[in-house]
This record gives sequence, C-alpha cells and structure tokens, in this order.
Amino acid sequence: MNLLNRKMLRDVDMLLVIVTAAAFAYGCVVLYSATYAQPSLTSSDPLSMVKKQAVAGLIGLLLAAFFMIIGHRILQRTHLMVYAGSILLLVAVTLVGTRVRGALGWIRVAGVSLQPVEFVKYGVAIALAGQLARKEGPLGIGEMVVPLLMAAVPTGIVILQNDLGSALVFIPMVLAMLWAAGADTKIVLGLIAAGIFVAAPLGYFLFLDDYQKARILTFFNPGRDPFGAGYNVIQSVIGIGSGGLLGKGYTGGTQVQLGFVPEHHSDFIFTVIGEELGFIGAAVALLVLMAVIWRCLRIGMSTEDRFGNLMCIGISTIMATHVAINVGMSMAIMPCTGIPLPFFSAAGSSVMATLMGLGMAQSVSMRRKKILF
Amino acid sequence: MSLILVIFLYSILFIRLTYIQVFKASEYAAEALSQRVKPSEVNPTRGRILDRNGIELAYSTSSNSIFVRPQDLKDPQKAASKLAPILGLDQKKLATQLEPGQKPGIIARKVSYEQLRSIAQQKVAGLTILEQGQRFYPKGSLAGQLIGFAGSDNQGLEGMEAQCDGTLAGTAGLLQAERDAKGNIIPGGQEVFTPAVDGLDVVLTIDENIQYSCEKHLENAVKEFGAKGGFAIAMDPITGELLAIATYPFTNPNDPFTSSTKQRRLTPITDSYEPGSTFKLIVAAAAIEEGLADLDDKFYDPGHIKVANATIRCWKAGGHGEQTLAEAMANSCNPVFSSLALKLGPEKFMHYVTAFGFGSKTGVDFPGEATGLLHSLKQFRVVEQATYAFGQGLSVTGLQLVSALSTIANGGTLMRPYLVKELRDLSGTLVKRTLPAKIRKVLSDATVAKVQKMLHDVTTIGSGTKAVPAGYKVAGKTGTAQKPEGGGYGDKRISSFMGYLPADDPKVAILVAIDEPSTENRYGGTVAAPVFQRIASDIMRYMEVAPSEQVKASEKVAQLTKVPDVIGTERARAAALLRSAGLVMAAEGEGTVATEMVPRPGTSATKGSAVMVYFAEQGTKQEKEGLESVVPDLRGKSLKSAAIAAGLSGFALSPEGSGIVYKQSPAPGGRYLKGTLIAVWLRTQ
Repeated sequence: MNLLNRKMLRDVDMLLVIVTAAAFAYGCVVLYSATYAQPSLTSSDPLSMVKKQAVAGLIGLLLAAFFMIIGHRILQRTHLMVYAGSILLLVAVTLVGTRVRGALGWIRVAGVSLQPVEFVKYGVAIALAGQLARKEGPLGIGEMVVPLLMAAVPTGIVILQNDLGSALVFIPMVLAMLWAAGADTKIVLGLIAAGIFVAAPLGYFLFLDDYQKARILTFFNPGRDPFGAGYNVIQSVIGIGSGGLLGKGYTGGTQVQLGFVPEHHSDFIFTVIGEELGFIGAAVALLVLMAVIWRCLRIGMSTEDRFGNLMCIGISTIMATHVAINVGMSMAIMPCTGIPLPFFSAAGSSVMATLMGLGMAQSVSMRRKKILF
Repeated sequence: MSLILVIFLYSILFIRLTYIQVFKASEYAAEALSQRVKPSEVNPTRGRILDRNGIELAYSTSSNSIFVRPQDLKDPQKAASKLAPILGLDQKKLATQLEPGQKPGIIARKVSYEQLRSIAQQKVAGLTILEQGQRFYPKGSLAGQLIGFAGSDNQGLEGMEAQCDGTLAGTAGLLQAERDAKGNIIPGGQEVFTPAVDGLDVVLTIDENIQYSCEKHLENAVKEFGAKGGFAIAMDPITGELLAIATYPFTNPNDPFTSSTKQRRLTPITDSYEPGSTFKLIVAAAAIEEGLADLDDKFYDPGHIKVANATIRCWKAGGHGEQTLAEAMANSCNPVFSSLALKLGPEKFMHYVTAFGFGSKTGVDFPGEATGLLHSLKQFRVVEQATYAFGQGLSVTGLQLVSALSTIANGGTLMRPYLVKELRDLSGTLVKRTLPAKIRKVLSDATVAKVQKMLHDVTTIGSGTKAVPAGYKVAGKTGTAQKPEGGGYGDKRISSFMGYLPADDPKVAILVAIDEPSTENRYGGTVAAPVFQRIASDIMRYMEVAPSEQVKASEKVAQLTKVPDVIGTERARAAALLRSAGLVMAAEGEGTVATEMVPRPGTSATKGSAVMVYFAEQGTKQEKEGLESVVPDLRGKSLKSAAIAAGLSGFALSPEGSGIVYKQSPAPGGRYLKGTLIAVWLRTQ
C-alpha cells in the first residue's frame, strides 16, 4: 500500500504552502505586538500568547499532513459520518460548553479551551460537498432542499448559541457551493434576496436577544451608543485611521497598546495591523490572506474531481467570509460579531481548523490528476 | 478566473481601507490624540486668612469625599444598607441615589478617616475616594461673620472668603498628559504641565486679641442685660484700619449652616439702624463749623420744643434749663440739638450729614455693605431736621458711625475703612499693601478741636463717665435709640456708646451697641459705656499705651486682680478659685481638668472680667505653665482634632498629607518652647 508517491508530493501546491507560512508568520509577529505588553494576557512571559499560537500551528500542521496523507476521498466516503459528528459536537457544546462574551462556543478538553465550531465549519463543507457530488450536472430546485437543510441545522444551533458570526459563515458557504454545483444563478440570487428581506427581519424580531439587536443597530450607526456596543468599532476605526499610510511603527500603536481598543489581540487584531503598520501593512496582510484563498480556490477549479472541487470552494468560502466579516467589522462596514481573522487572531482552534482545511485542499491538489498505471 | 473573483470580492475592503487610512487618516489621528491626551485640572491651594499679626484665621486642608458610579454597584440596596449607617445618611434616600440609572456623583463629603476605614471593611465595589480641599477655621467662632466661609470646592461664599475669593482661590493648573484607556498617565509620554498658581494669603487689619476682647465683653454684656444681641467695632481712627468687628450671637465658620442667614450677617456693616444720640456730634460739628454756635454759647432747655405740629421732648422731664452747648452735649439734651439743626437749615444740615459719609457706602472691602437711609432734600422737612438732630428718622450703619467718629478723632478727615491690610504669597513675600485712603476733609482744625473737647466732656461730666478706663482720657458719646416699631417708636432700645482714646492722641475708636437690653436702666451710658470701658481697657493694655493720669492706688487695686492658677483643677474648683479672685469663668471643652487658660495665671485682670478656661478632652496631657509645654500625642487623630490638641498645648501644627496623623515630630512627651511647629504626617489607610 502506497499512500504517497513522488508525483503526489510534486503536485503539492507550493505557492499555497508559502503564502500560508507567510500568513502564519506575519500573524505571530502582529500577535506579539498585541500581547507582549499586556500582562493580563501574557502574565510574566511576553511571548506566551505567541507560543500558544505556535503550538496550535504545529498541531494544525500535523492535522494538515494527516489529511494530505490519507487523502480526501475517504472524507467523501464518510461525509455523512463527518456531518453527524459535526452536529453532535455542536450539541455537546450546547450541553457542556462555556460562554465567552455572551456566546456559547467553548469546550474544555484536557485543560485546553477549544472552539469546536471552527472545526465544524470544515466538517459541514465536507458534508455538503459529499452530498452535492452524488450527481453530476445542473442542480434542480428539489435537489437543493437537502443541502440547504443540512446547512440550516448547524446554522440554527450556532444562532441558539448566540454565535452570530459563525452563523454568518455557513450561509455564503452553502450558497457558493450550490452555485458551484450547478444551481441556477437566478435561484441562488433569489435565495440571497429571500435571506436578506425575509429571514433576516424574521430572525431579528423572533430570535435575537436585546444585546444582539443592539449590536446590529450599532453596526448601522456606531455613534448610537459610543460608550457601549459601538465603542469597540469606533475605537477600532480611529485606531486604523490614525495609522495612516505607514502606521505608527511596530509595537507603537497608541490606541491598541493603551487599551482604547478592546479585544485587540483577538477580534480586533486587524486594528493592530492597521494602526501600527499602516495602510501598507494592512494591505500586505489582506493580500497574503487573499493569496491563500486564491490558491485554495484555484485548486478547486483545476481539479476534475467534483467532490474535491466543491470542498475547496467550501473551504475557501469559509476563509473568505472570515476575512470579510472580521476586517469589515474592524472598519465598521460589517456587523460587530466576534469571529477570528485566520492566522492573525489569537485563536488556537481557528489556526488548527484553518490549517486542517488547507491540508484537505492540498490533498485535492496532490490527487488532482487521475493516476495512470 | 479565481484570482479575479477573489480580488473582486475584496475590493470593498480595499476601498474602505484606503478611505480610512489615506483620506481620513489625519482626522482619525487627531481624534486618537484627543483621546489619550486629556487635560485635567490641578487644584491650587487656597490662600490663608491671617490677622494683622500673622495668626491663622482660616486655612485649607484636604478632606475626602465618596464618589459613586451606580452602574458599578452589584446590589444598590445592600450597598445602601452598608453605607448609610457609617455615613449617617438616610438609607432609603441613598438606595434611590445608588440605583443603576442614576448619574455618578458624590454621596458624602467631609468623610472622616474613621468612616473611610469602616467603609473599606464593607468592601463595596464602585466607590472612589476623592480628595478635596477643606477649609478650616482654627479659631472657631472668632470673627466668624467677618471671615465668612468657603465651600468645599474652593469657593468663598460669605464674608472675607467671598470678598477676597479671587485672591485666595488662585488659578487652577492644567496637566495635559498621555493617558491610557483607564486614565493612567503613561510614564515617558508627552506631558504639558501648567502648574496651579496658589492663592495668596490675605492679611486682615483685624487683630485677633482685640477681636477676642470685643467678643468676650460683648457676649458678657448681652447675657448680663438679657439683650437680643449686639455689636462692637474697633477702628484705627488715623488710618481707617478696622481692628475688630464683633457681632453677637456668634457664628462658627467651621459649621456655618447651624447659624441662620441672619445670624451670619456682619451687622455693623450689612445692617443699618437709627443711631440715636450718638448722631448729635454731627449737628454740633456742623453748627460750630458754620459759626452758628460755640462751646460756651448758652442755650435754654425748657424740656421740649414745638416743631411744626410735633413736640420734641428732652429725656429729662422738665428739661435741663440753661446750659452751654458743651453741657447740652454732655447731657445729651434733645431740644438744644433740634433747634441747632433748624438753625442750620435743610441744605447745610444735609450737606454735613452726607459729608460725614452717611447715606452712602463707606467703600469698605466687605461684601453686602448697607447704605443706610436718608430723606431726599425735598422730603427733609423741619420735623425730619429736628429728629435727625438726635438720631431719629434716619438709619446708618455702625461702620458709618465709627468712621464719622474717627473723622473727629483724626483731625477732620473722613477715612475709607478697610479690612485687607496686605496680600502675601506662600513664601510670605508682600504682594500688595492697602494704603489708608482719605475720602475728604470734613471739618476745619478749629472746629475739630472744639468737638473733641465737647466729646471729652461727655466722659468727664456727662452721660458717658462709665466708659472711662482708669488713667485714660476718653472722648465719646452715648446713644439710646428707640427702635421704630409699627410706624412709631415702642419700648425697645439700642443702647450704644462710641468713643476714642486716648483723647489727646487717639489710638482706637470704638463703637459698642447692645440691641434690646431688657433691664430697666438701659441708657447707653449705663449699658454700653461699661462694655466700652472694658474693651478700651484691654486694648490700651494690649497696645501698651501708658495711662496719662496717675491712677489712685486704691482704685487700681479695686479694679485689678491677679489671675489665679486653675490649670490642673477640676471644673467646680476652677470656678470657685476664679470667683474668689473676683473673676468669672468661661469654660470651653468637654474635659474634666483645666488644661489652659487665658489670660495666663499671674497676670492682672479687671475684676468681674471673664477668664477663658479650656477643659481639653481626655488624653491630652496636663500641661504646666511657663514657656515650655509637653508635646501631646497627635498620632491617630484627625487633622482637626490634632490641631485643637496642639493648640491647647500652645503648639502650632504643620500638616502634610490628609487622613489621620501617623507620624509626628517632635515626638510626644518631649518638652518644647510654646509656639514650636509640630510637623505631622497624615495618610488615609
């Protein structure tokens, strides 16, 4: 049995490896600046947050290598089990999880806090890809019902867990995958319109708590509550804006270092980049992340394997949504929901899950051509 | 294809990033700067109020306030139930103040260290202790209405504190420093510091000793005669400096709101009254100056005169018969002066009344001065002229009267009375000195000499003989004014005496007025003149003015007595000792054993005068007489009680910090010269 061969190794997307490594390294550098002078986060060791991130990176790398070796086809075969496992994981979080800033999403395993939803996002992408790959060719309306329901279940659970940000990740993912699987563009656009004009207002009035409503109202008008919900966003924009073209210098951000921007090591890490490294540094960060997404998407586009194609589109949509929501929130053009910026936010689960997802994509790249003996 | 898709998706992020960081960068940079560079005020130290010899009458210490942010409290009801008993507040009221929707604010001011410590033990979150300047008046009620008081926010509210507020308050400084989100100053950050300019010390013309003498004798007299109140003013007639202004009942500026607004008025300046016969000297001076009368001109008093439809009676039934002008003054005979006033005519009479300063403010540097009330020339008919002559129908302030008297004393010049002698900065350097200001020359020298002689006669042969301290020549005038009541005049009187001494070289002009004495005999000469005599006697001794006449030995012995030593004795014993020496005890303090007395044992005091005996609270060590004293243990005391304890032992205090005393130098128990400065260090917690 030969799981790996020379040809597969040659087909590893080196550019993806390089930009991923660059994004991770850049993330650690920024994270050091964000945490080294914050004893409440790092206690005595200024490097402790970066070390945690590095450990998560190492585990993520092992996960990626594992999936690169065993290959993505096994995922296709077991996609229903993956789906069931993902849902069970979310239910488990509901039962035994702990709350952080209003959102239920953390689970403690052997003394380490994990955020299972980060892994679940990729699990759902695999499940949807598996479901949609059952049949080639255009997708009828009837055939869209099952995948939509499959996406609706985890979305509903995370909404109940008050994790609005993660819920917002599932929606573009399922739509992108349906569209890629051959659904009519008009229907996809119709779904988007229905989501915006029917589901969103209904959800707003039926399911959301007051503080979530406040967050959303504050998104539309941050000045509504400059010392409450809107404070973080206003401070973030001031931080980024005051950085200007070249920034205030590494570790020199006054707004982030002096505590004016809350959660600047996690949700608002982009503010650190923008304030300290300026437009140039922020643009580089966005370009590196875009390169990762682009390579991942490209792997999906260039494979002849329908499951691999859809899975890569799912994975890159997850990342793209994370970047768009997190960076957009930091600049006050997206709702204020706490989801991490991949590789930059201090979030071990996100780092591990993202690397795992990219490992799956690499597996697709490694096995993109039919093996001819 | 995929690259284009990704770039397209992210173009919005790039547009936004460019907008924020390139086009609006300077705007946000300015906002960031304003967030972390917040100016804060640096409070200046309020200047002290000192008497003319540099004795502290008012100074500032720090006090603590409790500031609450209701939104930080977990359980307002519980917090209120914990705090209310300690702070002595109403629990229900406090609970509503602490409800989450309420604005943050100060719930208690002037919180003692003991209270702070009990509060700390309750562990209530959301409280902040603010340190604020507190005004302290070490002499208690001494010159209370004159000094006035300041609010806890360094703002003078009444009296000299209000008058000199701008000078005392100083200018707040500004600290512009880089701060983090919690407001902590960043070490090494940018800092622009404009230091606060501390207030200046105000040195008053008031002399603590003269003020004390005035207050003591005034209080005794008011009590003795069962009067409603009274006042006394002492003025340097040459310069116009006010040496003392006392109003009874007294007010303690440390606790001003226990006195009514009325009681807090410095009545001889802020209130006017009908002066009565003291006003006669104006008529006499005018008539002599105008050549209408002379000292030896003969007048006949039939006991009454008719003016228009009114009959003006002399206080002496049947009248004084034939008398000279000087005798009429000495007898305080109304009809003579009424006829003189009529002789002057309204224009000339009113001219002199206003020339002496009546009907207009003296310009004294004190807030709320009254003008008094005169008739307009049009309404100044014969009846008014006739009654003005003996001080009825017009109202004047005590200060106007004593200024007019000083005009006679100093040779005919009306001086502007004043209270602020000097302004000095913290180091004691003179910043400004008030110079005596002449308002106008009212009388010729010749007239002044005649009026002076007349006023001297009052105290030798006339109504004011009881005003003369043994050995001194006094010139003065009695007054017994009827108080206007319901349109007419009733039974109530203001008995007064004003005079200056020594008559041939005046050092001080004094006016004493007793409001509504209840005794049968309530003439100025019997009620107010003896008070004048006691005050004048104290002042002459204090100013070391040698008596001009030999006092008969027997008279001197009869009047003076040696003050016995009562220090160390218990209350009853002390009172008995003083009584047997012919003295009255005025006790102060809550203790059982006498610790200090004024005047000191062995000195001479007038018989019947009061000796202040302090009964310090327990714990203060008994102090021996002499120049030295034992340093008391001030540790654990609040600044106020430390200041009182040090003061009782004859020491002065130099505090540093706030809260309670934890260290002192010199150490307790040592013997040091009185007046030594004890340095104390205070801290909260």
